[in-house]
Amino acid sequence: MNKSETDIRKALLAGVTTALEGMVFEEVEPADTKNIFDDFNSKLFLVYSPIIDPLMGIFLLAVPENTAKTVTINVYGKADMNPDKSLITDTLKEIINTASGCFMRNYLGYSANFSLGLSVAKWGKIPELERSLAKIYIDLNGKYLMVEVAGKLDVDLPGTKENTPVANL
Amino acid sequence: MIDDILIVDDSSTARMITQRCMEIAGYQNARFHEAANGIKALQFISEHKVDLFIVDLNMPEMDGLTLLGRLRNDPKYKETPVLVISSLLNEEKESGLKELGVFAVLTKPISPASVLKSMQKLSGDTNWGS
Repeated sequence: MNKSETDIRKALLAGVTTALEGMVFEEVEPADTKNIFDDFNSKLFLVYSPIIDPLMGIFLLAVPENTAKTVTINVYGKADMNPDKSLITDTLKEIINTASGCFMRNYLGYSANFSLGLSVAKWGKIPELERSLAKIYIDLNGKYLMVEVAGKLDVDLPGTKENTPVANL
Repeated sequence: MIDDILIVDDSSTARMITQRCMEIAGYQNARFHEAANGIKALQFISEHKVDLFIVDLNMPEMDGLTLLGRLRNDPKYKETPVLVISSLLNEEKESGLKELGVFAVLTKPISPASVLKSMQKLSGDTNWGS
């Protein structure tokens, strides 16, 4: 199965949209990236979800601090809460876990078997992922976040586990 | 009668979402308990009764599948209903889980409606919204 970058982007956008609309209750749209790059030049919440089987890759969610707080407040449905970093991280991990599962089902189909590793969170600048396949900026009602998938996502080429993308976790 | 529900998921956010969906789906009077992995779930049930398990699959220390195997080998819990909620589901996993006696599986993200529909499988009540 050789899928194009367009297929990957479609599966990525659909997966992230399903996860965010189902958990954050905000309309999700691809962002116009012209005016938002400043939001992503400083340190951010970075959450990684490793794709383990049947292909090797990584899913990255990058979220500016203010957006991360808003997302957490929306998920919890408590407008007056002030979430700490631990709760924000837990929420973002759950979002990426859900989004990466949706992405894999969109990309491979519901009959395909797949495994994901446990999510890992960091605070830092967006890394350059090797073998980046698709990167999408998302507009969440005026707040922005970025999702990227990288790796070797061709299921006709098994046995390439040594080629796992490097994210400097 | 479902009085005590144990939600097993390593994410506190996922546990909150699950409890909220269950409450909206009509289980607002149940007692909800939480465990962050299979080992903590086994510790909990050694001292408390549970009428329904809601289990994630992908967890550190002891995953949901291992926990399910342990429950099915425990005379006290081999018949206790288990609902699996996970982001890792596909046809094969769903079929394997049903062979282990899981009455329903739900892919994340869940909603009160999807939880209600699953719980109706347990009660045999297919009259939507009743």
